[in-house]
Amino acid sequence: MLKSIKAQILFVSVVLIILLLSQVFLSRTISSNFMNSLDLTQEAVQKVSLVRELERDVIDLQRNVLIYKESASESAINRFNSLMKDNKENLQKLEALTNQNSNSHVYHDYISRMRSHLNEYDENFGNVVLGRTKRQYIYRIGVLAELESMFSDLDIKNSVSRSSAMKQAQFHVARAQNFLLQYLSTPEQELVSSFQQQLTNAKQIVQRELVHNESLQTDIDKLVEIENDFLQLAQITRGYLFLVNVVMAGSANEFLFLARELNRLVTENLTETNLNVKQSVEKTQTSSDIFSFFGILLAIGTALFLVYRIMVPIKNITDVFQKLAKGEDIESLIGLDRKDEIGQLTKAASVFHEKNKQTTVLLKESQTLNATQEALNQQLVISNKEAEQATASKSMFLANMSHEIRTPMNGIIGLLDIVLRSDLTDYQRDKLDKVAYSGKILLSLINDILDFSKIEAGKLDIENVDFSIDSVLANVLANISTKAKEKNLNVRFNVAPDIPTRFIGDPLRITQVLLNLSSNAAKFTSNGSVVFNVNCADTNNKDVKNLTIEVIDSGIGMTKTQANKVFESFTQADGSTSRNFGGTGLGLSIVKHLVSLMEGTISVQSEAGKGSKFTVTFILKVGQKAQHIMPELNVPNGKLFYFSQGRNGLLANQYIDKIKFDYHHLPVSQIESTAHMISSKDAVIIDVGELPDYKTLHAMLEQITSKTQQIGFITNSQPSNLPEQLTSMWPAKCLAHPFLPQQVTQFILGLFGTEFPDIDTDELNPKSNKQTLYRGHVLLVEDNLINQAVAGEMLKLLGLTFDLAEDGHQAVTKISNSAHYDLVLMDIQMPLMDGYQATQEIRKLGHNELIICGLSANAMREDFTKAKSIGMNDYITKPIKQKALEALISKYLPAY
Amino acid sequence: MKGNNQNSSQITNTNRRTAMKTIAQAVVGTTAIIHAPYVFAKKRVKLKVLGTHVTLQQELKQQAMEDLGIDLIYEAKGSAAVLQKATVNPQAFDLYEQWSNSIRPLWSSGSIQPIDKKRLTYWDEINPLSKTGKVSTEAKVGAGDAPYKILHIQKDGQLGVNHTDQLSFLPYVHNVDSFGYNTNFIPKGIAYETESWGWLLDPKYAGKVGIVNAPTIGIFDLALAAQAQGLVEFADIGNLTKPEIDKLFALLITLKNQKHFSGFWNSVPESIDFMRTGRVVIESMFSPAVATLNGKGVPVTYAAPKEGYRGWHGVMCLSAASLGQNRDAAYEYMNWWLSGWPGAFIAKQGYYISNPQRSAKFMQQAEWDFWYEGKAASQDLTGTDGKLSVKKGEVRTGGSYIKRFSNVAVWNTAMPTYDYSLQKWYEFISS
Repeated sequence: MLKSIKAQILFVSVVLIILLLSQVFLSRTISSNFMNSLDLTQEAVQKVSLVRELERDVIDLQRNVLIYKESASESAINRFNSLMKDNKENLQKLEALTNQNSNSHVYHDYISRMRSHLNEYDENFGNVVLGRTKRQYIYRIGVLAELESMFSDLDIKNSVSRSSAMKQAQFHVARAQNFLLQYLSTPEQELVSSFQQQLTNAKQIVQRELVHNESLQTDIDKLVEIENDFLQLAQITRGYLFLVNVVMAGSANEFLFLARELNRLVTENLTETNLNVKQSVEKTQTSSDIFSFFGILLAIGTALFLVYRIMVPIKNITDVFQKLAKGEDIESLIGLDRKDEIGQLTKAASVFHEKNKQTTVLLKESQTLNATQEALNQQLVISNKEAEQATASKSMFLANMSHEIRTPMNGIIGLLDIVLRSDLTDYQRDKLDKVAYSGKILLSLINDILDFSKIEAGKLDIENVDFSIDSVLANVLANISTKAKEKNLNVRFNVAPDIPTRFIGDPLRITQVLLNLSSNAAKFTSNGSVVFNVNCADTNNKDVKNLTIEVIDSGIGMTKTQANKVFESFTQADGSTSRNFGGTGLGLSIVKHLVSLMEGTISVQSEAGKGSKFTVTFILKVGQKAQHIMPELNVPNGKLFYFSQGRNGLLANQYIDKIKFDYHHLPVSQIESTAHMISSKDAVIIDVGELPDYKTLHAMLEQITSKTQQIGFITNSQPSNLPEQLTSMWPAKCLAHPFLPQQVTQFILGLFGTEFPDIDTDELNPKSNKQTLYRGHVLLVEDNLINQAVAGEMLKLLGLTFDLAEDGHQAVTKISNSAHYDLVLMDIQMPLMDGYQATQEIRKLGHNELIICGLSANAMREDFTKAKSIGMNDYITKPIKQKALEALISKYLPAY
Repeated sequence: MKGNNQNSSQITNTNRRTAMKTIAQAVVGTTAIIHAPYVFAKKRVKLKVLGTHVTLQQELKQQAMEDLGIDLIYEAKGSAAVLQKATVNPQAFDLYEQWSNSIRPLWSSGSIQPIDKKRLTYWDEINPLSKTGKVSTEAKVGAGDAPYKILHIQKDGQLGVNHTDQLSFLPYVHNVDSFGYNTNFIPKGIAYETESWGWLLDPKYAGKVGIVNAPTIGIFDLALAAQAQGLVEFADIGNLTKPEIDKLFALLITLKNQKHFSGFWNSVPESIDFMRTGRVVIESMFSPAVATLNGKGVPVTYAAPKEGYRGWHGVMCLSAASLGQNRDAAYEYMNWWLSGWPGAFIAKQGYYISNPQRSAKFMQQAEWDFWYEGKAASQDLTGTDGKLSVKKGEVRTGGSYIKRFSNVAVWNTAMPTYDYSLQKWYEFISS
């Protein structure tokens, strides 16, 4: 219980509230007590004053009674009555005032006694007044008057009788009167007796005289009457004096005693009340003080509690947490043993502290590790850089070497080319052909090394240009055909007819990949065939197609392990491979890199001894104005009869499907039975697989030729002389594998005598020897003498004249001296002034119309862009090829 | 003689009240027929009795009304007030019951008329105390106006010892008074030996002394006390001279100023209160007050002072204004009082009746023995209120009736210096 600060604070609050309430209650009690006490005191004071008044009034009453007794004053009666009234009222007030008193019966006893005394006093005074008045009356009207009349009567009688007796009687009456007056002033029994004695004396005298005078009887009666009256007067006097002196005095005395007692009681009561009030006030004051003291103590206690138990610990904890937050260390934690919130906080801080310590240790460890890591990384970076630099240096070296080697090679090949165009003996030509072949191998080797170096150096760029896939395939086909022919291999191209004619990509590199694959296929296949399957698949994007090319050979194949490593640099399937088949082992590595650069994929499936299948896929955008590589074939007249050995003839079914006119695909065996259906408008295509077939075909062909002249043969690649034999014997056309869809189209349409336009080829017919001649004067800027010679020969072949400049300087000078050149061929890399600078100078001189064409071994896209941007019109790569040069020239110069 | 009386009384006792009623009615009847037939009425006589609480008690009233067939109107007041009223206004009463000391003023004031001795049925039974002044041969007569001195109306109209047929009062209730003291505060003394009037002025009890507020009574208590203390000497304590009074009151006033006296009571209940409340421990007292206080458990001893008692004698006087039927009824009431039962009744509060033998028949032997014979109570005795007043074994202070009345120092008296003493008394109690 009360372990938590919340509970403690609640407890303290409750105690404080109780204290406060008690204080309020107490102060209320105090004030109520005080009020009560005040009331009591006032009441007591009132009582005291009332009692005093009673006392005073009773004394005053007595005074007035005495005054009245002496003087019979009317005002004394009035005063008495008013005092009596006051007294009675005061008694009533006192009674009312003491009604609530606890000892009211004591008061009431006193009051009732006082009241009865007062009433008696009042009543007795009434009797006194009665007596006094009566006495006065008796005195004046009765005794005195009677005495006077007696005296005068006796006087008269005296004068009548002239006896001394009357005088004597008169004397006694006078004496009696004297005693009467004395009695009135001092009422004493002796005077009464004296009075009586005188009257008796008088009576006796008159009695004696009665015998002489009968009339004196009245005097005797009168004297008796006077005596009676006097006795009554005396008794009345004595009575009211008794009342005043004894009864009323006793009443007053007792009343005063009671008043004094009451006064004492009231005073005691007042004193007691005062004392009680004082005590009560003191008591309440004391309890208030105690309460205040405890309240202050508690408040201080609470404050101290709050400060020492909560604030300071919270401040400490806060400091601790701040320190912990800043990651500073703390020496010790206070309040860990506490069981309240502070204790919990402290424990939390302790845990926090421990964690902090652990974190610090961990941090230090990780910092150390980091440092190590960094050092390692730095070392690694350095090593990397060194390695990269080494590689780059190596690559640069190789690139430079290749370049340096290539330049003369270009010269050799170029000059050979020119030489071979001249008239040569067969022997010379044969030998020069071999030289040229060796040169080409060497060049391709150098190119491979160059490419590899560029790839290694990261300097190989991929172009994105609109190109004709047909041209690419034609190049590959031409290349593989030559090689296959040498090894008597069957080569077949199966191209899906719906492939778009144009794609956007790098045709050179795609060609390079395919050539490499086809070269390999040819290289590692001793007999059998090399098949190209070209297919195209849609992607999510309708403008982008997946172009997949499979190269399948029936060569030596590879084991799985070999296949896995076949794309690594300098690796061939087997160590013996290079011995058996030669090669640098760079080919497939370069292929792999190139495909990757073009964001394509390449894979291989192979089985040792059975052959390999390389599958390469390029993701390419479809080019503008693309059509299907093989259009639908429509011929207005005639039918086509195709005779093959089996269902799958030499002409692929996918090509046949494109024929939209009447055709009949029949087995060769049915040629004879079908011959009657053939008319002269119809065309016939016959598969001729082997030379022996020809013999069996002979008779049938005779029959057919009689029906139509439009006959074609389709043969395999081997025997390679078969087409020649066939065409020499028969008036027929022959299509030998490998061929492309375009050739199929041309072949079929050719059979029906319809020419099909070259739809989309980048290359001219390679077989054309006829050279077009151009007019114009060319400035050839070339520092290399061999290149000068090659280029010069090529220009001469094109019928052009030219000047030479050996560097940019010379070129600029020559142009500024005589600006009659139609075209400038500008090498880029030259001493003194390179081609770019020279071009800029020439343009500065104002020769803006002059055609300047860049020549560079760096067949890079960026070079071309740069060349254009500084003012060159066109750009071709070295080694200059005759065809490329002619294409360039034909753009700018007129032909004859 | 006592035996005879007893016997005859016993014989007549049963029919006594009935007889009296018959007689009374007969008297009324005859007079009515003779004088005025038309006033013959069933109207009961209303007898006005003025007196003190001592004799005007409800039990007596009820009994008398029943026995006599009259209406009684009791008016009880303090001694002084009663006297005053009676002297000034005789019309206010038919009968007046008070003490012998009021006879002289009353008689001289003419407020009362002589009582015809012949109409008093039990005159002969009345004992010698009021007739000759001595209950026994050894008895002191006592100073002052002994009852026998003022009972008979002399030929000259004065009150005197010579027997006549006219009486100033009917002798009936009487007793001896002294002072009572609370034995809680004052050690009990020995009757007639150590107990002394002097105690009233003993400085030991200063501030705790009460005196009756009646000059004709109180003055003797104080005079006896002063004389007992040896402070003053009186020639005749029953007839103080002016100088003696001056001397006495000079002393008393001095004491009063020294607060020796706590109070002066005006009535018996007041005297009871004085003692009960502790206002006094010693005071002038009347016997019933002592009985009441003892009944209330206040141990008050009624002293038998060695100087002798202050005797008093009840007087029943006939108003001068009481005539005709009322006077007849008054005589019947007077006779009723001596008829035995009332005497027995007031014996319960310690008062004696003038013809005790007749009352003895109405008392238990234990009561008679205790009250009259001064013997120890053979049983618990009740007072007039029916409550216990005497415990078994108690003995009345002062002894038997004879013994007590043989030791009367002074009778309550209105002295010749009465008027003077009134003035002095006033000075005394008002000082």
